[in-house]
Amino acid sequence: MQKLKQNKWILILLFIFAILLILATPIERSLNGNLLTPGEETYHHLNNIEGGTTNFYELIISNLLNFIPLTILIIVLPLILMLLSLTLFYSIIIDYVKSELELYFAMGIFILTPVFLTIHIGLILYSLLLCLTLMIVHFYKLKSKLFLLFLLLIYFLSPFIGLILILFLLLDAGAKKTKLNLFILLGFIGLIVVLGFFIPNIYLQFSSLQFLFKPNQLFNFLGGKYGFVLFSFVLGLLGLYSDKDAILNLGQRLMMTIILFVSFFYEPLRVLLIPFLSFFAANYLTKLINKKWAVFYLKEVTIILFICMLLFSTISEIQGANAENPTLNQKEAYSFLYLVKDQNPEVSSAKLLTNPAYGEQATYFSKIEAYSFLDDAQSILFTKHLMKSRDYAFIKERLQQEKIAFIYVDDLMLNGNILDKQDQGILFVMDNNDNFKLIYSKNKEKIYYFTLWNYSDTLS
Amino acid sequence: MKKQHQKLLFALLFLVSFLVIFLQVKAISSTDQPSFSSFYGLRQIEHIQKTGLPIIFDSLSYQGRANTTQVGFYYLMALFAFIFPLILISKFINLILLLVVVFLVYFTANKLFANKIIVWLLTLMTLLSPILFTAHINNFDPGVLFAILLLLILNVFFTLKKETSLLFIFLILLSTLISSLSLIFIPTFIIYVILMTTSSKKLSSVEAEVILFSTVFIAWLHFIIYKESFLEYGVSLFQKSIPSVLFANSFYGLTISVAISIVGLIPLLLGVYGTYLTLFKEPTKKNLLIISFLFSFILALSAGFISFTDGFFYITLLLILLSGVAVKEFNGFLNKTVFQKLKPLFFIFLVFLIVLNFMPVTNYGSVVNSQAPTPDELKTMSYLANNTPIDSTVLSTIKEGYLISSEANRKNFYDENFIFAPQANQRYMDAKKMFLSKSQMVVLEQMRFYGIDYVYESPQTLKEYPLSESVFESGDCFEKVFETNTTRVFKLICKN
Repeated sequence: MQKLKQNKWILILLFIFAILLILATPIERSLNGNLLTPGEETYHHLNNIEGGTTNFYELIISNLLNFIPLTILIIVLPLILMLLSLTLFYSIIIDYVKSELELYFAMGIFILTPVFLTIHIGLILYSLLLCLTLMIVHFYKLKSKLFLLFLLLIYFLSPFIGLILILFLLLDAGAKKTKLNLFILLGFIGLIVVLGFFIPNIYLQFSSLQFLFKPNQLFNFLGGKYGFVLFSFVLGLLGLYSDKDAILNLGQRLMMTIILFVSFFYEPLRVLLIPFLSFFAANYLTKLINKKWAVFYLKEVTIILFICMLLFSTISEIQGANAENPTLNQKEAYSFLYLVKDQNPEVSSAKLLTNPAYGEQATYFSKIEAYSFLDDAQSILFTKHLMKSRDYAFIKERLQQEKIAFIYVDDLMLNGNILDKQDQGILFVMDNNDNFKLIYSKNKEKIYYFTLWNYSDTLS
Repeated sequence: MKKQHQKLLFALLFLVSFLVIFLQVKAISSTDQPSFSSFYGLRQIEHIQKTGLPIIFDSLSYQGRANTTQVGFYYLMALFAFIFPLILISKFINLILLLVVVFLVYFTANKLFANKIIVWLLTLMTLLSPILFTAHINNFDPGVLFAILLLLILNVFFTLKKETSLLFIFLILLSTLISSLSLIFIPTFIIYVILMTTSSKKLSSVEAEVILFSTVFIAWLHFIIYKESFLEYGVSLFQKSIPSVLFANSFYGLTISVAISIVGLIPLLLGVYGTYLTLFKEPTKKNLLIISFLFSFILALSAGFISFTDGFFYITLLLILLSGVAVKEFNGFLNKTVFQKLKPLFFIFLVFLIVLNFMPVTNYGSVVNSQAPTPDELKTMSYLANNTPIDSTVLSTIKEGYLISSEANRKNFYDENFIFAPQANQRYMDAKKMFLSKSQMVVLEQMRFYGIDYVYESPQTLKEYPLSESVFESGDCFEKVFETNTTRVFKLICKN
């Protein structure tokens, strides 16, 4: 294969641009005085590490924390993973792109995809998953057996993703009739089945798999945090199915279609599809540019519109991340709770009722366990039910049952997020019942203490 | 067919046209005012005339909220308003536009079918369609103008060439600025490409390019206009964030018989059969495009993305065009049989059925009248405008929200513009509670919370919330400050 001519400076600029994009959020937040990492997942991992229940990703973090301070690790680890993913993506596609322009487009689309930014702000598991997937593809392409090691790692992290990757590689090995790879992969399946018996957590992960179709989560513009960008999704599909040079064989293309379909129901797959969609989108975009258009004036306008759509999504994502929780005011309220717990050992077993979207952050900063978290559908339902209720008997019974002593509310929760107004639901009860004490009210954050949470115990 | 016969039929068509115009004018003239929902448009135009800009932040709607909508229609009408009185435009513009629709159906049918009888029949069906007659009567909205653009786009696409592509793009651009219904072009083009592929037909490069551009352009423009709403409401934005109760009610009672009476038996049967023929027997590019539009509207309607009236309005229009395929097939079939001589009889029977289906709407004046404010209601609005503090909020039914802001120039509690509306669902439920509650305490609590100063009771209130005695009348915290034969205004006197 003839080596593609490339402009190194453009590639370097693309890498610098990627670094700047990733750093844009922490820089802008720190300029506003907020050094806290946005999002829930970072705090989820940190809580897990503190609690002792760790997975492979958290194991890496906890070990790294022995050498690197958390404030640095939170920025450096995602940055390294991002640079690694970008380099791997480059080394994978370099043999498949047909022109220099296609290479830059693929890299550009990959970098500008909002999900790519999101997973590299803070400690997000998907950043490691993406990096490992690209490692597998890279080493498989180089015909190095090292890919099996990464396949094993990904299998430990997410068995379902691991299984899909094995199937995909099996199809490739079958199509190329590389018997050695076929045997190795089949042997690998045997190995993981056996491993499953020794590591029960793996089979448990399969049984707890959730396939939910949430239309609002499918696309970024509909509010999906890990959703597709319409631009690269449409162009990627067009590129995938109009590709006559057959980068992927029929079986792989069919597998891709199935994966794409499953990704509508399974979020992690959407993240892993970004590099593939970016490549095929660039492929089709280059075709559009090189094609002779019958209506010549539409060519430039259409391409500009496509690029505008991508930039529009990226800028929205950066803006969104800048405004994301936790805020300094929230941290102040959580720190107050931390002090309360510190000075009153009797509330150490109590829980905190708040918006499930704050569950991890609140737990991390206050060290009081939140009652509900975003990954627990049942507790979310219970929280909403409880928050909207005005029935004191019901509220009292449930708070006592769940050992909930503190109720945290803020402005966002009163503006359509759980509640709609000031005196609604539990707020009305808390403001009019002596068993609820308002112990914190600053800015727009309020914390109530329920005196009867542990039957006879009360806060001194 | 002899030329003499043709002339006779077209003379008859003109006669029917005049009859329909007469009936429409009669119905519209049954009231001096346009419908309640028209007052939103009236306010937009008045604002455009005064400031040159549409209302971006509406300080009166929902006691103050951001207002996002496509404003092309209102700018266009503001231009007309320099020549004609605004109230006249708001009442009659849709009648004029509807006649353009009829002409465009005739024009389109001519492109689709060589047989003049079919063209005649399709035009007659359009003229005498109950839904086309009633959907936008005495209403001031961009719905009919969008139908015109849709038919123009169809016609330009039928013979799309490099030279006409600019016109096509212009029409797409215009429709995007006129109404968010333009989003329907995206699924339509996707369905069209699929249908063309499955029918082994090839898109010309001009077609493929304008389809790609139009799809990207419409999507991009809507992302920009509704960015915040998309993020907040997600897919439900396509349902215009309508309160759940109202949304559920909008489809209440829809049965096959109701659908037949709305669309008309003949267009429905022939249209469906025409669709079947096009898809499975004789797929032509032109008819496949019409079917793509039809499928998109059916999908949008069933998902609740477009209103009941709008959905059936466009579906009927497209079914009428597709009816021609069935009539053509039927004509060909008759020509091969001994029934050939009975053709005029079949034809007369068909016309009879079309006329019969139209009969119930000939006396539509009373319905039009009930959808517009009465002189009493306007007198009350005038009282509110002149005798209440400028920043006061008036509680009414949701339908009368626009009227409060437009004619009384006071803050309404809620109205039917749900996009970006603050807690529309909650407000709808709370308003219901306030009108129906027998406890003064409950009502007071709600009114104080929202800062409501006046309550407006009208025939619409009694229709929506039938209650023998309201708390406003019996409670000692309310004072009746104005009254006509059919309306009342109550003032909240216990402020704290």
